[in-house]
Amino acid sequence: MPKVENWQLGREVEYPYEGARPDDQWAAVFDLNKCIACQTCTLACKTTWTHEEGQEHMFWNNVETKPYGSHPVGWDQRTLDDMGAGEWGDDGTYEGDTIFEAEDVDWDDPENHPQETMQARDDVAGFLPDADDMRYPNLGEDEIAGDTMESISHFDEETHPVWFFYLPRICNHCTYAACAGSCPVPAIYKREEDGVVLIDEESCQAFQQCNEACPYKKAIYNPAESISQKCIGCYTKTEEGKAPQCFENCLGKIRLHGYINPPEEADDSDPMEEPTNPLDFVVHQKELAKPLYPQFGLEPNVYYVPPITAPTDYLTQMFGPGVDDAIDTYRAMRDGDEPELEGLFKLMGSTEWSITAFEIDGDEAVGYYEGDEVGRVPITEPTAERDRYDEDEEVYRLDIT
Amino acid sequence: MTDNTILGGPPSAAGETEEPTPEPEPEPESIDPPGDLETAVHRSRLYSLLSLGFDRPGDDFAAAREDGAYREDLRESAAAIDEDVADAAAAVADALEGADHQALHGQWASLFGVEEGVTVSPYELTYLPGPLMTNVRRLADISGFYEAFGLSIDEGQTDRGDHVCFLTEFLSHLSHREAALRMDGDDEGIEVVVDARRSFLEDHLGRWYWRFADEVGDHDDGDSGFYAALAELLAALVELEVDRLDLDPDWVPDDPEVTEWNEDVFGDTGRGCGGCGVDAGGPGDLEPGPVPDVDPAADADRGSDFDPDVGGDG
Ligand code: SF4
Ligand code: SF4
Repeated sequence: MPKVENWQLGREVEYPYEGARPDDQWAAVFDLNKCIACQTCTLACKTTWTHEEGQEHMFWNNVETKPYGSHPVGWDQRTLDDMGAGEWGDDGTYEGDTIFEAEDVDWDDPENHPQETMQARDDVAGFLPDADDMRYPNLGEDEIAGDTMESISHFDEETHPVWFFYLPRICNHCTYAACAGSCPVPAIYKREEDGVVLIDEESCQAFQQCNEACPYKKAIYNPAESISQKCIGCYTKTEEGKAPQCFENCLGKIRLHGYINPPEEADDSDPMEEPTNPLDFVVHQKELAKPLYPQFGLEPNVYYVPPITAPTDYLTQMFGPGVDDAIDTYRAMRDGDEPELEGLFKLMGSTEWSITAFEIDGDEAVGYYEGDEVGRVPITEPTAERDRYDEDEEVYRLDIT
Repeated sequence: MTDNTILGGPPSAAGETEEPTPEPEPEPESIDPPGDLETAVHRSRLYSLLSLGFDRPGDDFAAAREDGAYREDLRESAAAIDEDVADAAAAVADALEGADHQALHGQWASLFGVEEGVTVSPYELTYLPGPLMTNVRRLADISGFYEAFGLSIDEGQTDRGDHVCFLTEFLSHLSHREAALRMDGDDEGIEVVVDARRSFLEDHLGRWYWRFADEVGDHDDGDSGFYAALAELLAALVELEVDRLDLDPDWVPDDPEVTEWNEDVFGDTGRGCGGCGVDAGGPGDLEPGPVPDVDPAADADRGSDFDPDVGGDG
């Protein structure tokens, strides 16, 4: 009965529905080391999808400063509090409760099925954001954590004593979506072809179960239309092979759009040899990108490269175990010891296409969408150095590279 | 696979499997677009005179007023259209009698002029609920109408496309085209321009003309009362249009405070771009409403696909 396999937690987890995976799973890698909180993604999304009356408070994409920022207010901390503390075993198994486990509901009992109770949000951990919680999307922006800063402060440590980082967030198109899992109608479904989670606006009856059940708070109520709405993964674009709006417009080029497999089906080929699935490569082969709060138990599908200068205890709480190794891998990439990753990360943001495969071709990285080449970039940017003194012009140059 | 899965398609489309051959949508009955050649010509002239009247009084308006031509044209065209409109036009003509240029200019400036702080806004966006940032889409929609008919705002014009002068000029243009197409007997063309006028009125001017007329009426304290009368004429004409074209515009809120939508939070800078989302018209009451009695099975009968354009008609 409804116990589903969650590879991110290394065990079966509770869920009111059977575990079935879509043919393909929409997925993303966000490199947090590169996000500058310019909010271009936020606006790209807002001006495309949520610019109508009733959607003013809605940010399908938001970018918050961690650790002090959060939208809606305290979404992660309050959910973690409600779930209670949980430990990770040495083998990477999560031993605590997920949001579907924290309330000790017997999901095998048909009487507890969300379509029966119509109150599933009471049976999962979390809270319902109110109007005030939605009011401050830039709360805590650029606020530092750790030590105080002096004008003469400089950091020698790899982990900075003063830190913050930016966390761009969208719907994770979760494998075990809580929004869909809690809807009494049910009006929320996961598309078989690409795993995108959608709310059927024709069916939504404003029960508002999803608004609370989604621990990421990405299913949002529209009071003007009396329905809930959420990120649609820009499926209108991805169906044509194009990356979603917030990916295409990202100034920091931090985002990669593609499709991920579960570990046992992951592409284990070598991008030096042949085109390889970039999501499988970064997440499964290199274990460089991590899910956001995997302990919620939904198998979210946006994978984050942790920021390498932030304290790893905080990062472990946010991304689960393996953060230290991921940071080592990232540093190795920067030192030129991971040419495949280096090539792939240069491809990010270099094309408006989703990338379903990539390979390294000499000193270039090549991206493909379903077999067609859609991007090609040099792994090392060619640079030229000029003389500091130009004899012809009899001038000194300030900028010689 | 069991049914107990979240995988699948939109539930509202589920009924389709029981009905393998869904009834084809009935062709919309083609009804002749309302109107005729004569009213189209006069409507075009009337909108055009309104546009001229609401513009800052300049040489064009002065020339048009020479020998009472503006008043005569107004009367004639209004009379050809409708009695109420004719009455409103007569009031405008009376107000204009003996009004001198200086007085008109002064009155215009005190109502609409930036030099006196734009007492009454002639711009559509001001009247819409919600922050500017989300409303700029409406501006894009207006520009889309202009563009679709090969029109653009003159290089030298510094006004925004949602100014009432542009809206009325555009409606004049559509009516003018309609007249030409009626002369050619081009039914398809007539339908296109009438449809455009319909949507434009329903989505734009039809939503806020009454607020505009109220505001002008409240603030026009000039001797002639010309602008109050002109705004009444605009209201009478648009009202008639709404009736004749069978429109159902979504009226803007009847609340002048709406322009200061988040003044309480930000003080004077209240009407900012809204990009920060603070109280942007508000998520309102997010408390769960009464739980409706839903029969999931019955719900499956609703026969429409998920609409990706959550943004509606933007
Ligand atoms: S556009 Fe890219 S760099 Fe800018 S805030 Fe969004 S994710 Fe960060
Ligand atoms: S992030 Fe929230 S809204 Fe998105 S699929 Fe997961 S549970 Fe649903």
